[in-house]
Amino acid sequence: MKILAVDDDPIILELLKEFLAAFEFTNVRFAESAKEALKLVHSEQVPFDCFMLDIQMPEIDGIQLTGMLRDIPEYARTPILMVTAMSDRKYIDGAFRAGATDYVTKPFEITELNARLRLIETLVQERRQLDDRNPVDLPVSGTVTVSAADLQSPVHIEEVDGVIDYLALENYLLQMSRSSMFGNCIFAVAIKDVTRLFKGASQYEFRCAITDVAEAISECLKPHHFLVAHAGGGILACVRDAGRQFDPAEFSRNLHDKLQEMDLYYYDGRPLVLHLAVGDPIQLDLKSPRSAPSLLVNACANAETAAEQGHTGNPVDPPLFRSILGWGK
Amino acid sequence: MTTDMQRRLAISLANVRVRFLEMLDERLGQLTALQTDLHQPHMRAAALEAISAIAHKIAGTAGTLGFERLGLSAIATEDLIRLYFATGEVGADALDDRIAQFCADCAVHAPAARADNSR
Repeated sequence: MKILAVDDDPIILELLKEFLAAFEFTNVRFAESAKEALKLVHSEQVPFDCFMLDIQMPEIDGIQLTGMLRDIPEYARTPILMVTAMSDRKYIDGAFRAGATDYVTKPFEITELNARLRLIETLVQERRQLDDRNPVDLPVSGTVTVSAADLQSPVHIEEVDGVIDYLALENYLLQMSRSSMFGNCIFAVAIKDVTRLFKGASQYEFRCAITDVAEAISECLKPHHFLVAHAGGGILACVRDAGRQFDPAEFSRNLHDKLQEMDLYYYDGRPLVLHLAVGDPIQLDLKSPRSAPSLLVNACANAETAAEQGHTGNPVDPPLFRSILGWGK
Repeated sequence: MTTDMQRRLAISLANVRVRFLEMLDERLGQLTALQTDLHQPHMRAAALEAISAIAHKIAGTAGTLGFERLGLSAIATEDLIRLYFATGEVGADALDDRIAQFCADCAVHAPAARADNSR
């Protein structure tokens, strides 16, 4: 795995150099500023597989650098690990909204850093295998039909405010729960009858539909602080502040109005009518460091139940959602 | 990590510690100069920002290198300066005392300061 570590503190770079060597990551480059990092990014023949970025740097900070890297098509999905002493919520929110994949706070624990890098290494390897199997980009017109596996896989959504990858949302919750998630809620939105709706549709149409739903959710959640991610299976998981004020029924009405306004169509010109179910929210009133990802799964299961029952339903056991998405195997 | 790797890492980290302490000398020199600037009203804000930046860097590495107390002192200093700018509810004397304590904590480890004290 080829890594670029960026930090304006030479001691941190020395520490990372020693740690990464101990973890047997030998293909590592270092930069002392965002500008130096961008120069390296543009000059390297072989692209980087992972970035490790400090936040507080002069001129261009790590959050701005994350956004700049995400704007380079080649690095739209490359894992970015923030390695920073900034533990305030505004920095964590800013980093994930800009496209960070994970977040480690300094002073870092060697075992924790190793564990996070191993997870990223696994992700890089999995994506590499997928790219080897599907070397051609998805077509922008509707010729490749969506499969059951496509329906279950999380869609990577770009350029929608507050929308990030599902793995990043899990990491965000883990990071936030180390401080506090008080006052936030988690909920999910499911597209009803997603399998029937997209039977025979193209991969492109499915991806567009998920992106459109994400955009509608993003618009309806403003001006709150929020993050949204596609969990797979036409279910979008959301985290927002002012959790006690969240009214699923009202949100559902707003969401349908927004979708109607967006006036969606299939590629062949047929109107695409999406019905969405908003699951019961889960309030995050207590510090719950270990349970954050499972709460996310529970929220998705709530939305799935609501979609099946035709109304906002009661929570079901998480394994149902996991088994449908092929998780927990 | 194997025991051999851990041993090699311990040796490497010892070298980084030496470099950290050398840099701590430089940083303590900068902090001492900035403490003087704190008493000039027109220089105070810039001096506080510069002190906060130094504290931020020390906070990021001291704990990992085994200087936990110095790391906590750096974090407390950075937090108080941030609070001072954000809310204005921190008294100037309390802030200056915290910075003086932070400098004293740096001096405990900075090689040049220790040598001066032992004379």
